[in-house]
Amino acid sequence: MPPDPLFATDALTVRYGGVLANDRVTLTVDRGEIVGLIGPNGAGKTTLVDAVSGFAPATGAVTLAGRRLDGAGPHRRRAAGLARTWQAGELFTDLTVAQNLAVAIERPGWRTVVGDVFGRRRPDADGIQAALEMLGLGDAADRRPTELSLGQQKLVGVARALVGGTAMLLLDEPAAGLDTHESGQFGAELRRIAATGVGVLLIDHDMTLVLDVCDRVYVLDFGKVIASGPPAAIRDDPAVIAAYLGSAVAE
Amino acid sequence: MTPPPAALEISGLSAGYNGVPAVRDLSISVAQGEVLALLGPNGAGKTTTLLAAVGLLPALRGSVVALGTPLRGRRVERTARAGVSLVPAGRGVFHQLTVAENLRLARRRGGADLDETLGHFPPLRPLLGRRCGLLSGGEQQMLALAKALLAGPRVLLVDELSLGLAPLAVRGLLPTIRALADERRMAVVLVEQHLDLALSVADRAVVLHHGRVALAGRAAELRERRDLVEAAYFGHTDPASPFEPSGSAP
Amino acid sequence: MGEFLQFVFLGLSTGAVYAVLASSLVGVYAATGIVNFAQGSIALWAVWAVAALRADGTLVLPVGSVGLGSGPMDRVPAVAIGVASAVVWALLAHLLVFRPLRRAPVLGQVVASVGLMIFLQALVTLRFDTTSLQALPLLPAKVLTFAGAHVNVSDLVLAGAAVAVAALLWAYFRFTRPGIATRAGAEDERAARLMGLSPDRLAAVVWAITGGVCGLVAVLAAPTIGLDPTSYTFYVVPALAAALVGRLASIGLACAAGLLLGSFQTVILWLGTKSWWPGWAQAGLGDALPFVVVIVALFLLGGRIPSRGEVTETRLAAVTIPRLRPAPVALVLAAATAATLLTSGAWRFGVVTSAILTLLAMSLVLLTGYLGQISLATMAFAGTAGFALSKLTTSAHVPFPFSILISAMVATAVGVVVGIPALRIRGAQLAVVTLAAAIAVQSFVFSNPALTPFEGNLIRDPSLFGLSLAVRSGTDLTTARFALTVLVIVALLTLAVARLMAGATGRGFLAVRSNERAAAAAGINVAATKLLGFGLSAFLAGIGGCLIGYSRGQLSDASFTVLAGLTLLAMAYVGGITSVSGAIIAGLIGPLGVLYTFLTQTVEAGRYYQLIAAGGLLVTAVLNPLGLAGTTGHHARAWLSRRRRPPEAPPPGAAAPTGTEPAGTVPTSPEPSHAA
Repeated sequence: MPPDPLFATDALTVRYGGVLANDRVTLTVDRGEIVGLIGPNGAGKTTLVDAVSGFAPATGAVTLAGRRLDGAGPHRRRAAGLARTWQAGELFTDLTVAQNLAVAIERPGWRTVVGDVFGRRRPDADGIQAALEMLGLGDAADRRPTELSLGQQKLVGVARALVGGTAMLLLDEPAAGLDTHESGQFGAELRRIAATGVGVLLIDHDMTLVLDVCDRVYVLDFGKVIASGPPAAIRDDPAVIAAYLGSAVAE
Repeated sequence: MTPPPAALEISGLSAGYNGVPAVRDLSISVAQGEVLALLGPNGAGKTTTLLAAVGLLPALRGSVVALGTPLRGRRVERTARAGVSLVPAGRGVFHQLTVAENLRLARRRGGADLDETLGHFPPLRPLLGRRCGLLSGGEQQMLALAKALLAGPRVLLVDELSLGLAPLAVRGLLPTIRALADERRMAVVLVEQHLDLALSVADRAVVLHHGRVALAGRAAELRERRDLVEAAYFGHTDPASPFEPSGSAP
Repeated sequence: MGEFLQFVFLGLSTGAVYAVLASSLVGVYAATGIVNFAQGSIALWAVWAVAALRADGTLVLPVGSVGLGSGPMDRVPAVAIGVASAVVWALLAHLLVFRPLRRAPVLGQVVASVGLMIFLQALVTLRFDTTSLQALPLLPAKVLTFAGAHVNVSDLVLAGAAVAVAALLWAYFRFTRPGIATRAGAEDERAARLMGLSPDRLAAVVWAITGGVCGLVAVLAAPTIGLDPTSYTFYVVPALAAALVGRLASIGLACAAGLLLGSFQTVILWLGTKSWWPGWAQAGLGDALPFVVVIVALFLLGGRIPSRGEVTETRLAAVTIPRLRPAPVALVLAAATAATLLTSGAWRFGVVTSAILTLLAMSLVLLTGYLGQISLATMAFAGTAGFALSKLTTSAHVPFPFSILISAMVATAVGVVVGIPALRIRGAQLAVVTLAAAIAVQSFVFSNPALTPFEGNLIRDPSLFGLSLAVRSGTDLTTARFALTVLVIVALLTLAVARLMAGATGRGFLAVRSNERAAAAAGINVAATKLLGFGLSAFLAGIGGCLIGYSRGQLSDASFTVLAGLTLLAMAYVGGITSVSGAIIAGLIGPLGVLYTFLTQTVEAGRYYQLIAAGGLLVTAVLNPLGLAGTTGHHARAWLSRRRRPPEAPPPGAAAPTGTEPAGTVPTSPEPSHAA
C-alpha cells in the first residue's frame, strides 16, 4: 500500500438525530483502484457517499490527493476532482445525454454569459464523446435521458461524473437496473475507467459484480466498517454473511 | 388435501419504474391462512412486487387478483378498504400524530377490536398519548403492524419489518403475525431481510434475484438447504457461470 | 398611551381578516400542499354578494343574477348566502383547478392559484356595481372606553371571531377523525391512501370550511374596512406573511401573527402623523411590513417549512433549446417592422407595448422557465428601473443609451437582493417572498409621495446624436422613430437571451431547474447561478421598464402595479414560459398589447381583458401546462419526426445490443428470454 493514497476518509461520522448513520468510517482508495463498499440496506452506504461529496453534514476528514475537502461545498469538491453518481440517476431530463455531460464541464457564470452572447463557445465534444464511448453509450449522445432504459440512464450518470477532470469516482448503485449480462459489461467498463488512473469507490448490491471487479472491499453494517480485505476473503467472512442474511451467527 | 382458494393471485406480473421492469414474469399465489416469505438481495424486486400487489405501481404485464377482484385501474384507497393491507418499509406510521390518533385512523367498521389487537402488542398500551416520532424503531414497527391489523385485513403484506432494526426488535413480531394468520385465516406475504427469522414463521418461501424467481419451496425444506438459499442470494444459480474470486489484490 | 391603545384596537378588524385568511392558508396547505393565493379573492366575492343582497335582494351570479325578494334582504340570510357563495367558490377551486393539478409541478400550482386570484378579482369588478354598492353595518356600533382609549365593539367582536375560527380549525385538525386523517395525509399521502383514506375528499372538506370562514370574516369586517374591489384580494399577502410565521403548520401562530400585523399597521399609520416621524416613511410603510415579516419568518426564525409528503413525479414544462435559424428570425423581425410602420396612433402604441412586454416576458422565461425560480416581482424590477430613469434624466441629465443602462443596472441590483431568499427557499414560498417584495416596492416607492411627486415622475424624452427619439411629436401619439428604437433594443436583447439559452448558461440554468442536488454534484455553484439568473432577469425587466417609461413620458404608481405584473406572468405562462416564441405570444396578448388594443379598438370589450387573461391562464394551467407555444411546437415536432423517421427504425430506448446475447437482455423488453 503506497503511503499517500489518492482518496481517504478519516473517522468520518454522520449523525441524524440520535442515530449514528456513519460511525468513524476510515477508508482509502488508490489511483486506479476499484474499491467496493457493501452492506445490508440501511447500513449507511449512501450516507457515506453523501457525506464525502458534501451533501450530508459530517465530522472527520475527507482527503483527495493530499487536499482536505471536508467543509467545502459540493460544487467545490466536484471541481477538485471528486465526483459522485446517484442511486436514482438524477439526470437533467431537459438536456440531451451529451448536454448532461457538457454541464459538468462548463459551469454557468458571468463568463459563460459573455461567451454565449458574443462568442461561439462549444463544449468539449471530444471529451464528452470519449466518456460516452467508454461506457458504451456512443450512439446515445443526442438522445434525451427519458428515452433510455434505467440501466443506461445510470451509465449516463457515471459518464457525467467522469468528465470535467475527475480523479475519484463515487458510484452509488450504478448497476441496479442492469441485467446480468449488462452488469458484466459494466464491470469491464469500470476496469477501463480505473486503468486511466481514476480511483473508484463502488457501492452495489450485485455481489457478483462487486466481488468480481473490486480490488478491495469494505463491509459496512450499522454505520461501522465491520470487515475489509480482498473479495475472496470477504466472500467467506462469516460476519459478512451474517450481516447480509441476518442469521444469528453472533449468538 | 384440496388447496384453499387463493386470497392473492399474482400471475405473469412484470412491474417496474419508468416502463422498465424490476420484476419480470412473476407468478405467486397465497392462500388464506398461509404465510409466504418473499426473499432475496436488495434490488431483487421484492418491494416492487408488494407495491404492484396493492396497485401503487401499475403492472406492465400480467395481473394481480386480490380477494377475487382484479386490481387493474382500481384506486389504492379502495383496495385498502376492501381488505388488502400493506405495511410499507418506511414503517407507515404518522410521526406527527400520537399513537392513539394513528390507531383511530386505522379502525373501521368490520375491522378488528382495538383492545384485542393491543393485546398482541402490550408495550403499546402505555404509549397511547405519545407522538409517534418519539417512539423507538421497534415500537413504531409494532404500531405499524397493529394499525394494519386493526383494519381487519384478509391479505396482509409486510415489507421489511426489520429494516434498520436489530433482529431482537422484530423477533417477537413475526410469531404474532404467524398466530394471527392462523387465527384469522389471513393471507400474509412477508418481505424480510433476516432469512432465518422469515423462514421460521413462513409456510413457503420464494427467493427473487434480478426480478425473477431464483428459488422457491417449502420453508422447512429451505431451512435445511442454506447453501441453496445463499447461492440464490449471491446470484450464481446458473452453473454455467460459477463464482470466480478475483485474484487481482496485491 | 390611550391613543396608542386606540390604534392597536382599530387595527384588529383588518387583523381579524388577516388572521382568518392566514389560518385558512395553513389549513389548505395541510390538506393539499397548495399555497392558495386566491384565498382573499374568494372572500372578496362573498363581501360583494352580501352588499348586493342587502342593497336590493339581488343574488349576483358569475353569469346573470337572480332577484330574491323585492327589496333589501335581511342581514342574517344575506350573510348566510354570501358565506355559502364563498364555500361554493372554494369547492369549485378544488374540483376544477387544484385537484386536477395535484400532481402538477409547483409552478403550475402557483400560476393557477394566481390565475384564480386575478380571475375572481376581475369577475367582481365586472359583475358588481362597484361605484354605488356599500357595506351596510352588521355588528353593533357601540363604543367602549378602556384605559383612555375608545374601542369599537365591532373590532373586538371581529378579533374574537378570528380567534374562534382559529380555535375551530385547530379543533377540527386535532380532534375529528377527518381532521386527523388530513394531518396524516399531509405527512405521508401514500401511507394515508394505503390505509384507505381518500385525500381528495378530505381536501374538499377543508376547502369548504376555509372558504366559508374567510367569507364570513370578510363580510363581517367589510363595514369597518370598507368596500373595495381589490383590497381583499391583496390581503392574502399579509395573511401569507402571518401564515409563514406559523411555518404554514401552526394555526394558532398564524392567527396571532395576523391580528398583531393588523394592529401594527394601524399603529404605524398613527406614528406617521407624529412630527418626529421621518417624512419619507409616512406612507407605504404599513404595506411594506408583510415583506419584513416574511423575511424575518423565513430567515431569522429558522427551521423548515414542512413539505407535503407525497410521492409525486413532478415534471416541469419541457424545454426545447432554441436554435436560431436565420429564416424564422428574419420573418419575425420583418413582421414586427411592418406592424410598426403600417400602423399609427393607438395601434402602433399597442405594437410597441407588445414589443416591450415580449422583453419582460423574456425575463420571466429566463428566470422562471429556464432557472425554475418563480418570481412575481418582475414588474417591480421594471418599475425600479423606470423610476431610476426618471431621476437620472430629470435630475442628473444622463443621456439616452446610458440612462437606460444605468437604470437597468439599478434594477439588476434590486433583482439580486430579491433573489437572495431563493438561496434558502423555493417554489410557492419563493413566490410569496417575491410577491411581498413587489407590494413593498409598489407601496413604499411608487406610491410614496415623498419619493414620487403627485404629478408623477417625469422622464425626459430620449435623443441620440441630436436626433429626437421621443414617443410623441405634435399630434403623432407614437412616432415611428421611437417605435423602431424599441424594436431594435428588444430584438437585440431577445437574440442575446436566445443565444444565452442555447449556450452553456442556459444548460446550466436548466440543470439547476431540473435537479439542484445533481447540479451541485456536477460542479455548478447553485447559489451563484440563481443570483445570476435573478440579476439577468431583473436587467431585462429593467430595460423593459425604461422603455415603458419613455413610451409614457412620465410614471406613476399605476404604471407598474402588482396586478399588471401578475397578469404578465399569467400571459407568459399561457404563451409558454419556456420558449422565446412563448414570450412573443405573451407580448402580443399581454396587458395593453396588441390583443388589448384589438379588444378596445375593434370589439370594444377592453373591460373583459383581465377576465379573459385570467380565464385563459386557468384553462392553460389545468389543461395544457406547456403553454400555447409549447403545444404548437410539440405538435409540429411530432409531425416532423413522424415524417422524418422511417417506420422500420428502432423505437427510442431499444439500444442496439452490444453483445451476442438474445433480445432478452435489452432491458426495455419485458419479454423474458431465458428462464431463471
